[in-house]
Formats: sequence, C-alpha cells, structure tokens
Amino acid sequence: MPDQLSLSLQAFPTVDKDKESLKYLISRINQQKGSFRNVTEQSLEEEILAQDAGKPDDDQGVVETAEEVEDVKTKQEEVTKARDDIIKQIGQAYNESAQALDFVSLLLSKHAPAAAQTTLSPFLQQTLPLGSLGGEVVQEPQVSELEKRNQDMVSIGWRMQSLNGAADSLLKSAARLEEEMGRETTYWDQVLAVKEQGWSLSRLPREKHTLGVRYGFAEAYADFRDRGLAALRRDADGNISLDRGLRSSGDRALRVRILRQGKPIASSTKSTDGTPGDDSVTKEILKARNSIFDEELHHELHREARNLVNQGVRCIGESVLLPYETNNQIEIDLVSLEDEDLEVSTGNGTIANAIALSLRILLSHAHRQNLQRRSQIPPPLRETKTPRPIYALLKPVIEHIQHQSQVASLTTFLSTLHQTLSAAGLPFLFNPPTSPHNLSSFSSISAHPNKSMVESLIQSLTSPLHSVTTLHLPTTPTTAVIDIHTTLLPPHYSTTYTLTIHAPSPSTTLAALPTPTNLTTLLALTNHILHVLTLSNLQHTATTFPTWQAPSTLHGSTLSRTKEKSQSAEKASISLTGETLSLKWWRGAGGEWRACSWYADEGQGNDGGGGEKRGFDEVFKEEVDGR
Amino acid sequence: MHELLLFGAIPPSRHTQLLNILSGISSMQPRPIRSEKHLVFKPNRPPGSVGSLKVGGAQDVNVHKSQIQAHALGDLFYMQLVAEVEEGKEEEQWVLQFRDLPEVARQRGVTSRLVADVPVTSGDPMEFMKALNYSHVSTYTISGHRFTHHSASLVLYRVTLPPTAVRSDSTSGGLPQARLLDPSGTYILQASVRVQDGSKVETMTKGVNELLGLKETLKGVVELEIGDRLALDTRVR
Repeated sequence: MPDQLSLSLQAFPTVDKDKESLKYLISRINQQKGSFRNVTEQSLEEEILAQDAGKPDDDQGVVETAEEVEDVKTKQEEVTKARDDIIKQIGQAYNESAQALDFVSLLLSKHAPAAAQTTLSPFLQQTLPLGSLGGEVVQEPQVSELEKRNQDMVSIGWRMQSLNGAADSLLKSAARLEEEMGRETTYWDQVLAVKEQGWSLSRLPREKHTLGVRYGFAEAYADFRDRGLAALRRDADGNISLDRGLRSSGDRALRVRILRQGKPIASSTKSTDGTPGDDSVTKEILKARNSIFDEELHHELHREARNLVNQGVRCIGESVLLPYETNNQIEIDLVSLEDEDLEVSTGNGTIANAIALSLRILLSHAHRQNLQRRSQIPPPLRETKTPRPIYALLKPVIEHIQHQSQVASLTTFLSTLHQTLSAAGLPFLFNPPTSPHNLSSFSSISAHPNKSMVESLIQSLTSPLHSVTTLHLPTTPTTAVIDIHTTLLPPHYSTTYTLTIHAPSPSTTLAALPTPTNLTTLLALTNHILHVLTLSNLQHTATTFPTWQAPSTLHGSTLSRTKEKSQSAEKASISLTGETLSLKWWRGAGGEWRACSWYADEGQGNDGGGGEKRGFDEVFKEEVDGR
Repeated sequence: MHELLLFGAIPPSRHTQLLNILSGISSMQPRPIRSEKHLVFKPNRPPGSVGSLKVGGAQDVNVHKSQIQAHALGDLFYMQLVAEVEEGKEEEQWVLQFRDLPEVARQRGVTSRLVADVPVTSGDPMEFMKALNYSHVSTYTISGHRFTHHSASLVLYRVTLPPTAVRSDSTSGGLPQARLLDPSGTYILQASVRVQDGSKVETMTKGVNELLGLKETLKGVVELEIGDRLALDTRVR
C-alpha cells in the first residue's frame, strides 16, 4: 500500500526516447553519483538497503524535501532573473552595434554603395536613399593670434555695451519710477486735501479704477443728482484735475435782472470766488457745485413758471419773466460764467440779489423737504405714480413783491389823504402798515421746540403774508382796520383787503356799513376808504353843527338843513378824492353853488384857488352855516 | 392692503455696523423708534361662534353644527393696538392693526399677507375694543430704528416685554425691569413693502422685485429670509 501511495503522488513518467539513450543516462549518472569510479555494486546495494530501512523516518525526509524545494525555487528565480538580465544587456549591445553599423554603412554608401548595401539594415535602406550621408576630411582654418584677440575684444565690447545698455535702462526706469512716485504723491496729497475739506470721494460706477468726487446734491432731481459726480484725474504733472464728462456745459450761474422797458436797470452780482481754499481743484469743485445747483434751480423755475401764467409770469426762451412794479419786469436766466465781462452789473442790485438769494434758499429748503418726505414711512404701492411735486420757488418771491408793492401803494394813498385832510384841519391819522414778518420772534427759539431756527425762518418766507394798518377816522373814536393778506393760493390768487370798522355806537351810518368788507383790488379799497371817510366827514360835520343833518342813506354825500334862515345855505356836499377835498354849498333859491377845496400839496383853494387858509370846520362855520 | 415681508436676525455685536450700512444704503439718518407699544387683543367668543344659529336640534347636533360653521365662517384673529408712546407725551396716535395669516409663498420668495391699519382718530381705543367684544391678553414693546429705501421700509428692532411685578416674597431684585423677549439681545431686521391692492399683479411684482433687490444688496451683510408662515399665524386657536 505505501508503495502504491508514493507512486500515486508522483507524476506519471513520460517515456522519452532521448532520456533512454545512453548518452543521456551517462550524463545523468555522472550528475547523480559522480564519477563512475565511485559507483560500486556494494555501495548501490547499501543504498537500496538504506532506502528500504529508512521508511520509518519518512516524515523527516518529506520536511527536508519541502525545504529543498523552497531553496530550489528561489535559486531558480535568481537564475531566471540573471538570465533575463543578460539577455537584456545583450539585446542592448546588439542594438547599439547595429546602429553603429548602420551609421558607418550609410557613411560608406557614398563612396562604396555596393559594399555598404550589404551591411545596411533593411529599414534604413527603405527610408533613406543611399549616399545621403557623406564624410570629407577638412582642414582646421588658420586663425592668427591677432584675429583671435580682436575677436575676443569685440565680444567683450559687445558684452560691455549691452551691460551698459541694461544699466542705463534700469537707471532710466528708476528715474521714471521716481518721477512717477512724485506725481503719485502730488496726486494723492491733493486728493487727501480735497477729502479733508469734506468732499465725499468714491469710485466711479463706470470706471472702477478712477476716483470721483461727489459735489451734487443728494436730494436733487435724479437728472441733476447723477450729474453731481466728477472724476478726479491726474494730469501729466501729477496735478489733480476735475473731469466732469461730456454732459457738463461749462459753469453757469443764475442771473436776476430788473428790466425797464426791456432794458436792464439792475442785475444781481455773480457769486464771488472768494472761497476759503486757494486750491484750484477745490475752487473748481465749488464752481461745479454752484453751477449744477443753479442749473437745477433754473430747471425748477421753468417748471413752476409754466403754472404761474395767471400771475403774469412768462417763459420766453431760456428766461423767466416776472412782472415787477408797474412797468418793470424781473428777468431770471442762466448765464455762462465765461462771458462774465459782457455785462457789468449796473444800478442797485439789492432787489435782484435778494431775489437770487431767496430762490437759492428756497431750493435748498425744497431739498430738505425732499429728504424729510423720503424718510417718512413710504405710502403703499399703487398703480398710478405720484408726480414729482413742483417746488414753490417763485411763488413766495411773487407774493413778497406783490405784497410790498400793494402795501407801498396803500401807504402812499393814505399819506396823500392824510395831507389833504390835515390841510383841511380834519383829524385823520393812520398807523403805517405792519411788516409781514415778526423777526423779533426768532430770537426766542424756545417758542418752536420742534423746529429749528432755519425752518421757522423759511416758514416766514413761504407762509401767506399779512400786514395790518389802522385808520383813525375824523369821527373819533371810530377806527377802521385794514388787513392785507397776500397769497397765491386759491381762491384769491392775489392780495385781498379786509376793512373792519370799529364804531363806538351802532346807531351811526358808519356802523351800518357791512363789516368786515372783503376787497380784492387796491382801487376798490381806495374807493371804499374814500367812501368811509366821506361818510365820516359828514357825520363829523353833522355832530359839530347840529342844525345840519347827514344823509340817512349810505350813498349820499349831501348835508341838508331846514329852511329856517333863507339867507343861509340849505345844502352842502362834500366830495373827497385822494388828493382833493371839496366842499360845495348852495344858498337857497336864486343862490349859486359855491365851492372850496383843499389839496394835498397846496393847502386850500377857493373856487379858482388862492384865498384864506382856513380849516374845514372854520369855512363851514363862516361860509356855509353863516352864523 | 397687502404687505410683503422679509426678515433677518442680527446679533447685538453687529448692531452699530448694521445701522451704518443701512444708513448708507438708504442715504438717510436712522429714525429712532423709542418705544412702540403693542397691545394684543383676543376675541371673547370662541372660534366659529359668529352668527351661530341655535335653531332646535339636540345639543350634540349643535356642537357639530358650530364646528362646521367654524370652517364655513372662517377663523377669528388676534388684533393689535399700536402706538408710539413717549414719556411726558399725552396724545398718542393709536392704530388698530389687523394681520392675516401669510399666504403660501410658492415661488414668490417673500412673505405676503393681507393687512389693515385703522388709525384711531378720537375716543378711547380700549373702550372701543371692549365694545367689539375683544379682551386684552398681552403687551409688548418694540424699540429700534426705521429706514426708508424707495418704497421699502426697514425696521431694525428688538421686542421688550413689560416689567413683571416684583414679588413680595422674593429676595431678588428691587425695581421691576423690562426684559427682552430674546435674552441674547438679537435684533430683527424687517424689510417690508406695502401694496395698496394685492390683486394687481403688476404692483405686487414691483413690490416683490424691490424686496428681492434689497435682499441682493444686503447679501453678505444680513441674510433676509422669508418668514415662517405658521410663526406669523394670527388666528385664534
């Protein structure tokens, strides 16, 4: 069994004819047992015996063979590796030698093509034509020592020249950089100076690498707000310059002129350039700011003027014309600062300057109001857009002009009247109209805790104007109070007068006048005053001379008397115009009308003028009453 | 009227910075809200009792019926009386505020809800609420700053709860102090645009775009997000 087992483990031996040959066997025996000299019959028998006896320690044998197998394996691997190595090196050597052979063959193919062709590799034969590589023996050129030295010198010279060139360009660059640095320093110094003066600097939205200065007004209309940004560019010397882009149209300023029959008699002065900073850029920025402000102002004035046609405001071309006094006009237009020398401001520019200043203040105020409106909680979104409000700029100006001229006319009329009546010796006094502004109230700011002083001042400029004058009538203590209101708001759109009579007793005719009386024109007011004064005079005469009776109606101006004394006058009438007071009387039947007048400038006249300087009462007593 | 909203939260350490940024964006100074008092009112009747008709039937049928009516007649809502109160100021302008449950956002990207603000011009608002059968349930106060950017209104605020009464048996504390609703002191930034008519698609889109534009502008500064719909629920449960 064990025999069979051992057999079964081994591979079935293949019968190889070669291996049975004597040659093979001898070599095998040589390998296994060494020389034939050592192989004896005895030793072979011993060996067989040992093999048979060695069965019990078969296990040890197996172990040993396993180790041996291991050994053999590694050895085999080493051998294989070494063999591969050798083959590789041989291959390489062969390759190199073949290349060398190819090279030499190709070289030779020029002179001995037939011989070369035999050794040339087929690949080279196919790709290259024979004789394409050749060799020739040449002689080395003779270079003299001098030439050699010259050449060396030339090469040194070239090298030096290029080194010098490099050094020069480096120096030039250094100089240029230094200059550049100087320019940059100047630029940034000036930028810093602008910044320190409080201007807001920012990047331009379109050019990210350019600095810009914002001089426009944040609350201005979008068109003008967006234009209020200019680039601060650096010129060749590093100085800063303001680039306002293509849209700027030079510096312009608002001009207010007073025209009489189309010819200027006064003009507002240009804003002086007396700015604190001497820096030209700062000045330029300031000029740009003033210009854009005035341009916006002009734009807004035009917008407003179109709505004020009912006040006689006209827009002709670029200018806005306002009516002023009787035959004058105020012209507001935008002029370029460049043609400053074209016109020298003539006449007294106080009014014109005041108007220009007020308009500017009012626009600033409108900006402030814009901010306030914008800061409120926004109204809910609607489909309809709310239109941009029209600023009230011209309105307060027109109101003031109108109010002042009306008050002045009234004052003139009243003083003439006063002269006339005092020439006649009649008591008539009036208080000059009060100023529409109570400026003394601004000293106490505490009165308006919620408003700044500026706002209260502005409010006085924009609120409706109101003046009061009191007339002391000849029939003391009756007074008439005239309230003068000016507003361009509906329903009056102009100046209105309210005359209120304060009569002591309600029984008199004066008291019967409707009070207060609202009048919308100065003419109506003067007529009304004359009427009131006539009535007052009649009443005054009737009280001084009790025999005479004042008319009972409101419209009569004739005093009458009962016919007690036929030789005396029976009727007398008083007529009052602004400049004249006339007394006419009629002496009964067959008599004639006689008259006596008092004038504001000359005093008193009798019929054709001249005569005694007597008072009204005196004349009435002596001439009319005839006592 | 409709209200479109976005919300963001800001830690107190960034408050000053954010005031500066918002001031720059809106180009205006912050308008302080010193203390805006909110009084919350709840209807006295239970939900669904509006107009419930008690016509015959057994009790359980009525209960069933009122439940149906609760669905049919809609919900009842909390309402608020709001006014800016200042010490020493007598006249307070109270506004009665109604806020609906926000609409489901879908792709709009902002919270939108129906709102109604009714200014109280005269009379006692508390008495009025009583007459409406509403009772006061709680009070809170808002303080912070307000900005306006075009038609959007930005409010940066904190909610303060009224001081709790000092308990006599407690050893801690002397004077009652107002406390913040969020003890960490976090500020809320609320951006809102009001739209007069919510059914007009054009104006709504305009409002939404304006809010989303603002969100884009404030990206990286504060993340404005859509509000939690259920957290903004004003219905009475």
